Amino acid sequence: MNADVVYITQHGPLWDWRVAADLFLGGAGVGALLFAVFLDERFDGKYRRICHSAAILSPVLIAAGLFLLVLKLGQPMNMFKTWLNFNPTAPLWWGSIFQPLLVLGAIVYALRWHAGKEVDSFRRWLGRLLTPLALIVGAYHGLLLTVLVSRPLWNTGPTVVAALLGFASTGIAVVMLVHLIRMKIAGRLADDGHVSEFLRNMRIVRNILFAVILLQLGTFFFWWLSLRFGSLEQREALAAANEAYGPMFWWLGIGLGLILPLIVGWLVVLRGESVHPRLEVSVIWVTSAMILIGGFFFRLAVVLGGQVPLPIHTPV
Amino acid sequence: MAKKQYGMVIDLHACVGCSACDIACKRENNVPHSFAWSNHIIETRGTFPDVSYRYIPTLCNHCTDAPCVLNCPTTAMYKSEDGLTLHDPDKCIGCATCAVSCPYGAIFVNHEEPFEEIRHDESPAIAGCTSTGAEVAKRGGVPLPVYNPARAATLPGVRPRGVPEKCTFCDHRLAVGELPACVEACPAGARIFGDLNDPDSAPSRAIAKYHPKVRNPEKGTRPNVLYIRDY
Repeated sequence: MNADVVYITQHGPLWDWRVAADLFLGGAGVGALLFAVFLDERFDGKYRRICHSAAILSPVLIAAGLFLLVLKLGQPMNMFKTWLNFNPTAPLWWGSIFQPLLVLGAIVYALRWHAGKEVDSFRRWLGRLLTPLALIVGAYHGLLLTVLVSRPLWNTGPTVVAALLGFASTGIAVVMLVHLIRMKIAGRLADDGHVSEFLRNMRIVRNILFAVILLQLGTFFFWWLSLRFGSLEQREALAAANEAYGPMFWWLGIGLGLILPLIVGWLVVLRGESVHPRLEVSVIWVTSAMILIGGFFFRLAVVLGGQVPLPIHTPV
Repeated sequence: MAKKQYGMVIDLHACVGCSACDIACKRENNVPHSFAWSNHIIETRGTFPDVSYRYIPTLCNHCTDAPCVLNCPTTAMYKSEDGLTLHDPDKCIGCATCAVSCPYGAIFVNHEEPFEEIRHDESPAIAGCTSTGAEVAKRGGVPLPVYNPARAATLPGVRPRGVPEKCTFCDHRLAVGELPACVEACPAGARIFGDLNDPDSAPSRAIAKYHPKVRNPEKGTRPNVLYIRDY
């Protein structure tokens, strides 16, 4: 039987694009840091320049995200009170402790890279120390949404996994984009020798990115399944979010941010050596930009979509 | 003896849907016009002639396991000794996590300075005859033309921009031995207020007599606003 329900609730979303930007920038920063640590550990200085770009980007991005989040606060001057009041049940409280710590650690890590030493045991030790902290901050961004029982779109397990994986793809993409810009400024993109070496080094990065994107698509599929075939409330939340932000989520977040880069990258792999190095560099530019644009709009669609008013169910 | 747990039982059979509770709350707590600490759901169901109409008063449920309290990063949203869910604006950073956490939409956030439209109202209702809202407030030495100073005993009389606000079960009235304004105002006696941990209290007796229900029990928040009887 159909029902019309009237109920006064606050108009508009409580969390806006700045929260999505914090998730995006913070995530990309965490991803960049983990990427730098991984390359340093695994390849022992071979990817020194990329690690340098990643290490410098990491604190800048996380701090930029935090800055936007502080701008969103209704009482930003009270921010310090988070550290004076203890509430371990609140993910935001944990975030307010761990995120600034990570920024500080990432700044030191970046400075060590900037010092330019080929092998630096302190830097490597710091990288290992920062890895669990970065993973905690990564998971925190997902937990922040997952714990909200009032928001069925977010209140699922895959939200945390999606947040962690999202960091990896956007982190790698932003490092690649900035690294290419640095190469361009330094004039190294005009040098065929440099370009060939760069592309050879890129193969491992490309494979990591493919794996992350595939894992992300798998996670989103399970997320969608859990909502689509979940409780009535979850189905309603999915339908409401789809209606309001479906095109943003599917076309920009999934299509532009994940599927298109995967297809374009895969085509380059299939064509192998026949692809001109300049074209391959262009593909890295374009796919990195696509992943970043898609990554932001994905988060925006999730943040706004999770706050779409749902049908009211009366208590009795 | 168990700690006090204030709660409210709403008798839907007695409620006539007059909204006196909503108006009393607005007046008592200086609630901005677009917010509703005391709220209601109107549900119209069916197709003529087989139709039903229900009016369900709602408010903050002062949940025992309140998600707004659990998720507040600064403990600005907290549980009081007597089971009320209250907010301390001095501790608040204005992150709105409490409002996003609430499954009932009972928490409102002042994105803008509240009552701006009244504070700067320079047009009288009848030109040359009545004063403007701003003039009345200025003469009265109060922030608003219609202002209850008693509210300021436990919470800012008008909450500042950037912080959330919600029903407090009129904690300032409870502190002086009075009932919440909505309970006082209800002409049908549909709101039964008291200590749910006291088996002899009026709400406990109502709960024992009928089969109470709560909003969204699946959320696990253990609301302390319960509903009895229905049409």
